[in-house]
Amino acid sequence: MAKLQAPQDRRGSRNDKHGPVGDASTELTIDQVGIAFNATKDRSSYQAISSVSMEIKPSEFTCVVGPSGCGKSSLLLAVAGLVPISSGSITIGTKAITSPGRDRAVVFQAASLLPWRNVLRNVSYGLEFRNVPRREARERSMEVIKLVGLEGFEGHYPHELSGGMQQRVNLARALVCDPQLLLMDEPFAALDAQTREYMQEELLRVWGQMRKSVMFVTHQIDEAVFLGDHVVVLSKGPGTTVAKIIPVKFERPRSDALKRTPEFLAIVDEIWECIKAK
Amino acid sequence: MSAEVGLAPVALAGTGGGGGGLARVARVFTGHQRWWLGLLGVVAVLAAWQACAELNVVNSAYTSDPSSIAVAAKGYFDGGGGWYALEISATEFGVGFALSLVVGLLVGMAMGWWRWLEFLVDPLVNFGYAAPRIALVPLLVVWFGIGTPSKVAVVFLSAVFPIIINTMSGVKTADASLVRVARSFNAPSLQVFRTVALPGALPSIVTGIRLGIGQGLIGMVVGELIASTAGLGYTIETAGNNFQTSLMFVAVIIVSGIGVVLTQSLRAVERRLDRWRPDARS
Repeated sequence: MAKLQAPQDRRGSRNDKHGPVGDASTELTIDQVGIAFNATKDRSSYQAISSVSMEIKPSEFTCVVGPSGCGKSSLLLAVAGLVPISSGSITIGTKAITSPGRDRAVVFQAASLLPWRNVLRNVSYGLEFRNVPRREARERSMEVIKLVGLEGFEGHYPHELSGGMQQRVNLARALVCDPQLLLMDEPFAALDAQTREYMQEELLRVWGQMRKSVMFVTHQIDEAVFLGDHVVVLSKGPGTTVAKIIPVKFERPRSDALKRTPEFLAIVDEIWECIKAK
Repeated sequence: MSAEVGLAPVALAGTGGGGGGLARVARVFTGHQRWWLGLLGVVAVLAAWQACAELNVVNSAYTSDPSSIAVAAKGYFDGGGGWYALEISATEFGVGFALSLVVGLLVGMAMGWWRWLEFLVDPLVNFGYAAPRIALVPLLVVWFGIGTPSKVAVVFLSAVFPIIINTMSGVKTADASLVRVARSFNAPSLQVFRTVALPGALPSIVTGIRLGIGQGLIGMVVGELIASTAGLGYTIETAGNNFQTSLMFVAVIIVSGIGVVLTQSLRAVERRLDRWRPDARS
């Protein structure tokens, strides 16, 4: 089965390599999605998300924020195909999502690196399941390692790296697969404030070069406003819905100074009010 | 401080061959601490044993002593049937342990990976592990005869359960977040197992094999003690009955020696496979 899909993957990666992705098929549509969890103990069902609809256009950076426990991570994992949805539909282009696929890659909250593999072999991990020849996998991985600023560390093991560097590997591991849609699940939540700010800028730099569609889940409002083209604000759970979608039209490239401008703070306040209101 | 340390070897070398040699000896000693401290412990015990026998603190007819054991060992391997006994025992252990390794690893991995299989087989494994397997030796002799096959069976039964149980628990406790990463990349189940569960289970698997070596050796010796016509355990049995204390110790020491060598080789393999792991101990 994997063999049959391999040529398709290579075609996809060739298209993606040249400039920004421009075709409409990369668009993500989340349509009235509900997510319920079944408690194993008493067979009761917990409706985490009742109805969420949103769209991500090609090459767009969309952030999702919401109060803790609202199910924003679950929504992202549903898009990744790792969590089943109970109602509605998620489609990429015209294809409905039911399982993980090579059109998406996830950057997890915890770096979740394989501790027995060095940086290079961690980054090339996803390519092993896509029948990419060993040499090409190595070359592509080295390219991405360079892109995320880890050149010279490819032989290091995860325990030898700082938290920020581990997250760079985590990001590189997703990027090397050349997905149409990059899914990021609070990737900087575990980092200290200083490293987080630095990683935000680094992420924008990398994204500026690759221009993937991104769905970025975070609980940090300023992070969402700083990174995103849109911020989707979710309401409090259970039974989460979309409270508001706020466009963020600051020019790119954005720098750290933006975070202290009144316009920026106004948007942060607006989102805060929106979250508190419920 | 650092300058002092840096200068020390130069100063020593300047004082002539004696000082330099001494420094080199000192370096060798600190470098192979594990090795020579271990040797020191063994030598101390042997010396104390010999001294007790020489000074008649103990009766060496009952306890023997290192020098008598050395003489007995020479006789044992110089036409006294030592090589034959070793060959027999090594075959029994080798075949039995190889079987338990293959079966134990496969069953343990399968039980760790498929929950329904664990549920299906776990009671049997627990039962087998708790059973006094050595007590089955007479029965095994009836089934397989008094020769090598019955000892192979004993070694297998002794070694296989620790291997199954430890392998299973290692695979079962695979890091869920890493499994999720693999699934997010659309990895087929077999690949998730190969790239996540198996490497993560390695320390448990090695522990199981190490326990299996010890249990298997015990099984081999006890099997031969109970019913056999040849082997190291047979030597222990006959030497004990004939009051040949030294010869008995020769056979016991060989068995322990085999255990030590096997465990050490296993550790070497583990170190190679587990090079990435930081050592938490200083």
